[in-house]
Order: sequence, then C-alpha cells, then structure tokens
Amino acid sequence: MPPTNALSTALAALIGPVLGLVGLGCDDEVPSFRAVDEPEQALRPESARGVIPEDAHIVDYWIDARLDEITHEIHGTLRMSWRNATARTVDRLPFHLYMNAFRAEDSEWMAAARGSHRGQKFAPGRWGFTSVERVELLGRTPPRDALALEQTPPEPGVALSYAEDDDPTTMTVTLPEPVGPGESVVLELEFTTRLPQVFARTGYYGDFHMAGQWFPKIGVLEEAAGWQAHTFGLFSEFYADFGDYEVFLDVPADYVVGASGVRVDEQQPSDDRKRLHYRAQMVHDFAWVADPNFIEHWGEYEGIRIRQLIQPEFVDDAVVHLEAQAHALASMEARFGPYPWSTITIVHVPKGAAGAGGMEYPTLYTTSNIAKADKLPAWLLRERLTGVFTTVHEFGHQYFQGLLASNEHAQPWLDEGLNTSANQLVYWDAYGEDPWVAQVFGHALTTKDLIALSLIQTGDRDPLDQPADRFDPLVGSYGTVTYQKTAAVMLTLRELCGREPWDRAMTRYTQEARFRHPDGQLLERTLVEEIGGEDGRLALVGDGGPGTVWLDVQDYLDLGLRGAAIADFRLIRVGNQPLIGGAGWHPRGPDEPLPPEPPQAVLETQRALASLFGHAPPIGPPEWTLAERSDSRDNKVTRLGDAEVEGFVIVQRRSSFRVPVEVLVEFDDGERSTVVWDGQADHHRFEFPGRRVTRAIVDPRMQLLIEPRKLDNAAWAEHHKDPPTEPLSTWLGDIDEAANLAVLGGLGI
Amino acid sequence: MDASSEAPESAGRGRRHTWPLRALARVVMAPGFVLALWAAQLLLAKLLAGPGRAAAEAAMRNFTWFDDGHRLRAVTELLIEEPAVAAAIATSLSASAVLAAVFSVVAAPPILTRLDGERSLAWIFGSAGRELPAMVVQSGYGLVFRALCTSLAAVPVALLGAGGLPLALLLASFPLLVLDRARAAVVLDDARPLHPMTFLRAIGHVAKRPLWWLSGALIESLKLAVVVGALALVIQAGPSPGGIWVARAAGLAGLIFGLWRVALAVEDRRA
Repeated sequence: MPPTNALSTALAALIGPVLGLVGLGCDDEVPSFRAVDEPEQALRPESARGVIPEDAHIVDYWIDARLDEITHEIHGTLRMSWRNATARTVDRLPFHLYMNAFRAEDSEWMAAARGSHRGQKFAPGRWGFTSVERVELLGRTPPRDALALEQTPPEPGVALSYAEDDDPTTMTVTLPEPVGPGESVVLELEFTTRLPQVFARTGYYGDFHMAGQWFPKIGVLEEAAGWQAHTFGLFSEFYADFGDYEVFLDVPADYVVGASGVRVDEQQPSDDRKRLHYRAQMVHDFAWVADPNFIEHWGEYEGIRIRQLIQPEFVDDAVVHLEAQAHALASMEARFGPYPWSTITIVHVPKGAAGAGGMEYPTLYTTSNIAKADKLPAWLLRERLTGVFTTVHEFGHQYFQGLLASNEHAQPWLDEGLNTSANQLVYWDAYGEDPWVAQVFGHALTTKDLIALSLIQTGDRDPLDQPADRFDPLVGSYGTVTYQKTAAVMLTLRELCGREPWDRAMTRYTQEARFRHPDGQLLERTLVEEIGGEDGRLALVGDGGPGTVWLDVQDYLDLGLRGAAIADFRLIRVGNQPLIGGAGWHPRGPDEPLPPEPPQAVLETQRALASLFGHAPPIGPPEWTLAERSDSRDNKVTRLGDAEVEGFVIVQRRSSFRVPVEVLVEFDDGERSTVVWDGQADHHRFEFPGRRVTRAIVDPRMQLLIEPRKLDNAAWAEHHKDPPTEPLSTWLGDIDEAANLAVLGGLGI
Repeated sequence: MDASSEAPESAGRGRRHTWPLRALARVVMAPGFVLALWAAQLLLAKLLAGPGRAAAEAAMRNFTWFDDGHRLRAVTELLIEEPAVAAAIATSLSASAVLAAVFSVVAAPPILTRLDGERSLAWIFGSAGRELPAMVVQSGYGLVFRALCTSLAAVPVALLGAGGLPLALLLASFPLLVLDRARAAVVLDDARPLHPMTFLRAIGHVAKRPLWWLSGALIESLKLAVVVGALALVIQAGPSPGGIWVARAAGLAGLIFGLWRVALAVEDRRA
C-alpha cells in the first residue's frame, strides 16, 4: 500500500482542484500504442533472474473463474496442491477469506476501519464476501508428475468439513488424516466472491473490477511457529507461500484484462464472452483487473514487458510512469538483485475508485494519477511526487513483498518500511543525492524533508517492530511509524556508517532472502555483521583507542526498531570563556633551576607591604614557583584575543534515542571543524582552548533522518559581536508583511 | 484651478481616447497624497505583521536556521511545532482584509475629492465623514454585484482554462468600476446617496463605455499582478534584506494603479 504521507496527499489535494478548475483534459480521440508481445514465460531466463530455490515452491493453484459484471460476483472452482515442507504434522488447513472483511461491520477489519480507509468511504450496502460452497480432498501425496490440477479428476473427491473461524476472514478445513512432513494434499474448493464497491484495495466501481484477495488462499506453515493465517485486520496485509498459478478467467468480451503473470491463451466461446488463460510462476498471490475503458500502453526494460492499463483521461501520463518504473527497476536491480519475472502490469484506476489505487500484487500493481503540476509555471510548483512516487513505491513491493515475502502481519516494517527506504534510494539514484520531490516557489522539499515532516507528527508514538494488529488506528501512528520511521532508521544507519557497508548488507540480505520469507532477525544480523564487523561496532572516529567514537549497530537497531523514541538533539550553549591561565603557585619542575635569591631588602619590603594590605607576601616554599596573572584576564571575553579564550559547545540529547552525531563548529578565524559525539550521555561539552567559537551546528549534513526536529540544531555564540539576523523568522515576517501589503493594496482601493 | 484638472480639460476637447492617461495624470499630480497613503499602508502592514514576526522570532529562541536547501522543511517544522506563529500570521491577514474593506469605504470620498482637484485638507478629509452613510450603502450594493460578477467570472475559466482568464478579469473588474462610478456620482455629482438607482445607473454607465471597462480591467489586473508578484518574489527570494523593499515598492505601484482606476471615474465626468 502507499505510504500515508500527509504532505503528498495535501499536495495532490491542492494541485488537483486547481488544475481541474483550469480545465485541463485530454483529447476525445482514444489513442493506441504499439504493443509489446506477451512474454512466453512468466519468469525471466535463469541467466537473468538467477536461481530459484526448489524448496521454496510450496503450493500450486488452478482456478477457473467467471466474472458476472452485473452482480460483480466471481464464481470459481479452485484446485490447490499444497506440500508440507516442515517437520510438523498437521491435521487442519487454515484458509484466508480476505473478502469477508467487507461482509459486515463487525468483522475485525471493518470494526477497526469504522467505514473508511485512507480517506475513502465505504458505500453503504455494497458489501463484499467470499462464500465457500464445497471443499473436497482430491488426493494425498500424488507423485509430482501426476499433479495435473487442470484435469478433472476421474473420481469425485472426499468431502471435507470446514468452518469459518471467529472472524470470517479465515476458515479451517479439517483433514481426515494428518499430513506429515514432505507429504502433500490436493484439494478442490468451489467459491463465490462478491466484490464490494471499492474503497479499500479491492472491489468494483462501475465497469471497473479490481479482483485482489478474491479466492480462498491457504496460510503458511512455519517450522518454528506452526500455521500462520492471521485474521485480516486494518493494518495487516498479506502472507502466503510461493507457487505456480494457472488461472482461467471468463469475462465480457469487450473488457481489457490485466493479471499477475502472463497470458498464455485467449479464446472467445461466444460473442459476448471471452476466456483468458494466465500463468504466474513462483508468486504468492494472483490478482487481476478488468475494465472496458482501459487503454493499453507498453514499454520494455531489459526484457521485462511493462504494460500499463490506463484510463483515457490520464493517458498522457503513461510516459512519466514508464520513466519512473524504469528508474525503479534500474536502482533496485542494482541494489537488490534481478527482478525475476518477465512482466509487470501497472494499473491506473478510474476516478471514483481511488481506494483501489496504490496497491501491490505479484507482477501487477495499481498506481495513482499525476496531479499535472507541469501545467503550472515552474517557478510556482514543480513536483515528482504525485503518481510518480506511487509507481516507484508500488513497484518496490515487487521486491520486499513479492520476492522476499516477509510476514506482513507479524513484521509489516520489513515490507512497507524497507520498501520506503528503497524508494528514497531510487530517487537518489535517478535524480541525485537527496533530490527534491517538490519545489514550491523554487524552495525544495527533499526526500529527507518528507520523512522528517512525517516523523514530527506521529513518529514517536509506537515502536516499529511490532505486529500490525498492535497498532491502534485511533493513535494514528501506523503509517508514519511503519513506513517513514523505518526508512529513517535504516537510512540514518546508512549515513552514519558511510553508506557502502549498509548497501553491502542490504544486497546480501536481499540475496539470501529471495523467496525465503525472511524475518527481522536475518536483516538485523546481516546489518550487524556487515557494518559492525566481528564485534558489531564501527569506529566512527578514532582507531579503537581512547576517544574513539563507536557506533554499536545492534544497540542502534534495538533503539530504532523496538523503541518508540526518535532522536532529538539541542544546542544548550555555544560560547566562549576566558582561557585557563598559569597564574598561582606551582611545584617547580625537577630540571627547573632555582631563581636567584632576591635581596633581603626586597623581601622585607614585600613582607611589609603584604602586612600593610592584609595579605600574604609573594614568597612561598623554595620548591614552588609563582606565576602572575595576566592583566587581560580581568577583561571581558569579547575583549580578549582569540588565543586567550576557550570556545565551548554543549549539546543535549533530549530523547532516549542514543546515536552518534556530528557537530560542526565555526571559529572566528573562519575555520570550520567537525567533531563527533557518541550521543550516549545526557549532554556533552566540546572545548576549544585558544579558539573563539562563532557558531555551532548539530548534524549539519542532516545525516540523522531519525532526528526530524532540527530548528534547535544551530546557534550563534553567546555575545557574538555581530550575529546575523535569524533568517527563518525574518523571512516569515517579511512574507507576512508582504502579504499584508498585498491585501491592503489589493482590496483597499 | 490646479494643474491636475487643467491639463485633462484642455486635452479632453481634443483627443478623447487619451483620457485614461489623463486619469493617470490626476494621480501623478497628487504626489503628497499618494505618498501619505503609501506611508499609511506601510505602517499598517508593518504593525500588522509585527505579531507574526515576533512569534516566529520567539519560536526560534536563540537558535538559527542553517541550511538554505531545506528552508521549506524548516518553515513547515516551525508552523507544526509552533502553531502560534501560523495563528498570528492568519490573524494579521484577517485584520488586513478587514482594514482594507473599512479603508475602501471610508477613504473613497477623500480619494475622489482629491483626484478631482480639491486641495483643502479639511474638505478632503471632511468628505469621509459627510459621505460615510452613502459609501456604506453603495458599497453594500457593490458587494452583492461583485459576488454575482465573480461567480460569472469563474465560468470562462472553467470552460476555457487559462484561455478564459482575460474574460474572467474583465468580468471580475467590472463591479469595481461600477462602484467607482457610483461613488463618484454621489461624492462629486450629488447623485442620490442611498438610492439603488444610483448604483444601477452606474452599471449601465460603465457598460456603455468599453474603453473605460477595458482600461479599468487592465489597470486592476496590473495592480493585482504587481502586488501578488511582489509577494511571490519575497517568498521565492528567501530571506534577503532587499526582498521586503521590493514588496513595499510594489505596494506603492499597487496604490498608484488603484488610484488610477478610481481616477478613471473622475475623469469620465470631465470627458
């Protein structure tokens, strides 16, 4: 799903109506584009995609389904072959019936959503559901070669008992005999799915039909934890095993259809219906979309067919989405390994079906529309956020959700959060370091800025490493914490360690985790090993001796993943004080010669004067020596020479998030110096004897994405002789005054 | 008779089509009056912006922003973290709008009187009090008519997009010119001060004079472009010492454009 980025939403909301008002539309003539041939195979050649582990192949589906476009129902028969790849023995099979989330308002999903999802409202009475009419056991542990799901079995199967669980989004099928390790079963189910009017990912709107999570799907049997088939909740997305899908779709003849995988056959048994055969390999889900209004747009990237199904009014945007898709592929293939499938389908949902936009399925995703900012003058607004970011983000899921397939219910951050991190890097790779995503009046809003502005609001309300159902929708932190906070934690670590070790760790993680349902432990272990080395620590400053500033990677990850806090530093004081001098009595050094004995008359005079003024004479033990105080010590710091002052900078850590931080210190002579604090204590003082500090900046390079509040990160030295005017408040004041002038002048006369 | 009224009269007998320029001459010939209005406007804007500026300064405490490349983020952070700043700015803008509306009603008679050539300060400023009830009533009619015309102005934009903007500006500026005419009729020609026919006659009067309508719309558009452009420039330029003076200069230009538009109504009587 797309990130809940309030800023991008606001931007789209701002731009959309404005452009709508000025009547930007498209030509009435429906364009057509040269088609790219359907790939013959659902997977790319092994030389391009790499090896797929055989043991990752757990379940195969054969589905024959018919869409009733009037009632918006899908009637289907499903055959499934499932293999027990664990050492466990099971006597029941849990199935997801995700569509039942929309069956009644007391389902767990609807109860949490209270009728709306990401700003989209549920249409009253337009419920959706999946009803299972029959479950039969067709066979047990058939030889691999004999698995021909598409063939009608010669004998009827054994009827199995099944029942919905407490929440209707899962059901349990009871087996007559347990299935042991290595054994498999073949089941046949008959089902009917009625699509809701779309407001959350899946459903219909007019002729548009988005069929996601539309068929009964078996849970995941894990070696350690047993069956994983979570109740479908508001924030819990999906988790399933890999396998092959052979899907036959019977749809109206004039509908344009997009689906996971590749189309291997198309027949037209009657004038008004057509039957499509799709094949998807080594995927964990199958989704499809049908709409007679789609226009097809085509592209290709290194043998990967890119097909867009776009609404006529947005057809001009297809090239922008294609470019974004190419940027995403280039960046992610370089960083996270090859995309294994031969096709990707980008679906543009119609107006009114925005709830279906911004959702990922294997080899298919829905995006959102671009807000036409290019029609506004560039000095006013430029943006590469609306539409483009959705395309980058949803494609990113092809890796973290589609290819790695972590348990999105147990650890949603492994998909949404890592994907958001990767999205930033796609932008960096495509447009340069921390590029702008929007420019308003020429002022940039960068990738880091967007994360920061999101974190400021709800970033510290929850830890990110927790199951989806622990997030309270009324707290309102799920989106920020799971998406942006994960990205902030990950990219801060990347910045601190010098980028290359983090990049190396992520390459290794994604390589090891392909088709493996990785958990957070694998990622953490990889990061600790690659960044921290043997002892899990990285020396940021120093060579391991005293004064070395360490980054303890596991400690950082513990704070970032399992703590609610976000980092926050503040400059307590920046200033200068008189340098400590050498005045007073000090023991004479062993090699220091004794001074000549003063004449007795001088000593007597000194004693007499001291007695007269009531203090001790400047005469001490012979082995000590007395140094006089410089006259200038009596002067104010502002009047002292630079060599006679000691600059200081005090930084405070204002949250429980301990992380090393750079401090840039500027001196009176124009020099700049960067020092690093390990961030462990409550505060820390940097001292600069003989140097006059003029300004200090905490985290000047904005490395700490996890520290969103930076207004208190820079200050001029106290008693600075000529501190410049504070630019931000001055600017705001000037804008306010200019706006007042405009209002007074514009309306007054 | 002073210079400002003599020149237009002599020209009026010859080339009538130059009367918008003669209207401008009426403004130029009253530099003290213009500068006084400008100074008042600057002072008001400065005072009104004071709380917002102070709130922003207080919110920054002794800190300073340090990265020009992330200025938008900093402003947003400031407004999120310190809602008082946004509240102060919004309040000052609301106050400006109210003051502008009051000024529009109260200052109309002195402006018309001065642009007509009157130099007696007592008479000029006295007109504000004398004509206040009439100005309130005529402005009320103007408000209703303005709402109607503004709604109509949205139609060409909705239908034609940016191409409909000139027509929209023509429609949107029409009620301003009508109000100028109605006020001038009351203040300078002793038309019935409270009667709606005064305003209705002004509608017909302006509608029958396309040059007035066209030039008035152009002047009003220029005024808006200048003041909004200056505001955009201040935003775009970021913190710079000269930025606010550009806005202040634009304020003067906007003031002159506004007076010029009003002077069209005065000049029309002479034409």
